[in-house]
Amino acid sequence: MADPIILRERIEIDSDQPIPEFNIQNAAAYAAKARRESQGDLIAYACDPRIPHRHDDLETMRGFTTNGLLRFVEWGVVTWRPLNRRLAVVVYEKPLGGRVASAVSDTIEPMSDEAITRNFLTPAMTVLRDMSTRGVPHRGIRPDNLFYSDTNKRHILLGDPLTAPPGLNNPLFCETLEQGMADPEARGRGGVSDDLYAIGVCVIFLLLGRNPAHELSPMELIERKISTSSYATLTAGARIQMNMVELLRGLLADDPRDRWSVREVELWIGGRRLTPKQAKLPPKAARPVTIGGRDYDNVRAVSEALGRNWLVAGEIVRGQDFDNWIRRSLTDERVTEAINKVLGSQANLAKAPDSDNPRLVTRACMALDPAAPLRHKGFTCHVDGVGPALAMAFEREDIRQKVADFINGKFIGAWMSLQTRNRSDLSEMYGIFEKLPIPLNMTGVGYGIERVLYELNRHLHCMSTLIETFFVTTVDRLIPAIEGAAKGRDRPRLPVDRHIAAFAAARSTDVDERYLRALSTNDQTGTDHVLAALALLGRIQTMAKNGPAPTLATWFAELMEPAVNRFHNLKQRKAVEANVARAAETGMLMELHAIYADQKAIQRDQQGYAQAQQEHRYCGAQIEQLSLELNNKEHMATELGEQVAAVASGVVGSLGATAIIVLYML
Amino acid sequence: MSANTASSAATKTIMFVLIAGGAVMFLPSVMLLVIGMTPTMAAMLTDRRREKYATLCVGCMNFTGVLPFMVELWTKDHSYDNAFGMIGDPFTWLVMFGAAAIGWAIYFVAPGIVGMFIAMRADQRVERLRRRQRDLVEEWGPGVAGSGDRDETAQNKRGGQRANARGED
Repeated sequence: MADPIILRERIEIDSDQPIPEFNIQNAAAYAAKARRESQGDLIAYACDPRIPHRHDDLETMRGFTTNGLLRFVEWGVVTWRPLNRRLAVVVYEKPLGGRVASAVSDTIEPMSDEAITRNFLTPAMTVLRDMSTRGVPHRGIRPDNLFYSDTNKRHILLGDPLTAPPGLNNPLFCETLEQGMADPEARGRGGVSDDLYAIGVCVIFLLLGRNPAHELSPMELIERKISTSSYATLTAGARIQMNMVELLRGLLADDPRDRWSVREVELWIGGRRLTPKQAKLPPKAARPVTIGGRDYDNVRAVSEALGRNWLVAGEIVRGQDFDNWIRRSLTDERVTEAINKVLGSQANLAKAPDSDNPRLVTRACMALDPAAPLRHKGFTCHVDGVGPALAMAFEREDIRQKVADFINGKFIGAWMSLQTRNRSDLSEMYGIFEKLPIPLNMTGVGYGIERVLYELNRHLHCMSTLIETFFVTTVDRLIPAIEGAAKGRDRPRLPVDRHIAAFAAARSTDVDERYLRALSTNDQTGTDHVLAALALLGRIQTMAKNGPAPTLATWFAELMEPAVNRFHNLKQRKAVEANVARAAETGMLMELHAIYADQKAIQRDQQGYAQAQQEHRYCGAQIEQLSLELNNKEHMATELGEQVAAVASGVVGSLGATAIIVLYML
Repeated sequence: MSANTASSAATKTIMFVLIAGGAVMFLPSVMLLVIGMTPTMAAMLTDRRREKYATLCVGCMNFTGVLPFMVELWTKDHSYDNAFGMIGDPFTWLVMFGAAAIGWAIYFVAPGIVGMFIAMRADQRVERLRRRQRDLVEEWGPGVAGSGDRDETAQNKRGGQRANARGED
């Protein structure tokens, strides 16, 4: 056995011992054991790093011991040697009885209503109540995520809720209409009401021993649920015991206001019996409206069809026929009012350019069905599901474009004005989405869709190809990760890319616009860009109090070689090189930055160089002049020599004459 | 205009009369001077330059050669006999014409000496300037001589080679 992987000094995970029967869609199960506590067998889920885990909820769920849920033991980010990378691991106590169903398509032995109530429903309600107290919805309740807690396979536990975004792996038939209509990646957090619906679906599965909607395609399932209600769709053709009908009608109510709460289910378990409620279907219009070649006669179905056929829906929404259908056939004041509020008058619609069609369709969809997910250009999401959707499909250009279009559309304000219930978390999301178009539409490094990714996913690890495997979720781990990557062979040209800059800007208030502006110069290949990257990482290293990063510093020193070579003065260049080598050895990036950013030294060098060039030119000109003079020496010598001769003769003659006179006078 | 011309002509006439009178009065000296200064007159006739450097050269030295005899004439016996005696003495001719010859010698030798001096001075200055240029290149690199681009390209190549070497490690 290879060395076990240690999680927070508490858990030993044996990566050589997979337990495939406990695998879930986005996490592989491995055998684990506690190091000190006397706990039974454990299972460690190695999460798929491409799928964001529920970081906040993992912390909130610490110490959650209610029976009825896989017992959460520990979680953390570890170095996963088989993949040679870091990833999140979530550890649970291993359920003794194994899975209830290995897949939602499985057929199992049907259970009695009494057994379901006693062994599944009762503990599940306790779990949902306790989780609700902590503000955490489960959102992973589905038949293949149920386990037997005992070897006798009697008591049923809810499986892992924390390794994936809420509702991601839930099959469509387990999701409410509102959640099911959204893209699985963009279902949003949801709530206990969605969990209760899923419990209802699981009850049917356990009663029938199979998926009640296995023969329906996703589109058919949604249309059936809309037109005939969830209860009717999921129980069609099945023989449900009378005593369970009331429970299932209560849990599978499509209107969240009619859906049973945990309290009501507990009362039912306690023996209270009421007349089953009839499912409330959406009101039908007097005549249908045709969308994409099919007729639809209620607002929810029309909204869904418009969103699905968004390419042709623009013309429909702008048409007089649609307006007539709303005002005359549907005759629902609430819908008419909502349409007027978000779309305006028919005259305004007529004036809008064709390019506005997708926006008009989105607004029409939200007016027709305010509880449904937002639909824009084929992207169907709940507001709090946009972030996870972007994170999971960031490498896909079409998804990035859809999310960008959605954010630029600024639909959240209009959508919130149509909601009947106020949610504080939505106000927070509204604040975030209102600010996002500005960074989204900036093209510089540290902005754009990458910035949106990290603003919308507060705990997502940095997706830079340089350090993705290091699973950096906080800015204080950034420098050690880049230092680690710098030691590798396949490092890119620069230690900072758009992801790292965006991640740092989104996660740290210490990284302000100045650092990003410097990184966003047009020339992304010059030393100015490298210097800006150095300033950014130096700032992070200082603020996060990271230790030295000598390899990274050496990398920067190599990248900045052209800047050193730009020093013209060779002595100064050598001095700078020596300083750089010293600073690189210390591994402190700010020291390195201070050397390169010494503008005075650069200025002095440039001025000195200009003067030296001028002097060199002057010397050259002088030499040339003298050479010319030398070539012309004979002429000059004759000219000057004659003068000199005349003067010399004059002087000699004068002296001679004076001497003669003096001689004769004596 | 005509008054000025008349005045100038009168001045010239007066000067001529005075000089002629003086020449008649000092005829022995004038004779000696005229005969002694013959090389100067020859130099003046052959000197084509406006500045008359050759005439000046020869004249100064020639006059220095004539002067001792003039002084002797004035101080001993300013007579025709004495003057003719001096003119008839070959030593007098040797001194007067020898002095003129020295003037010619100075005139012919001076340009050569000056040429040598100019060349020496220019060579020294060129050497000093070249040394300064070398110092500048040593301090600031070859770019200072106007080959900066080549210099930077070479440096970049060096940097690239280093990076490649690191990548291959």
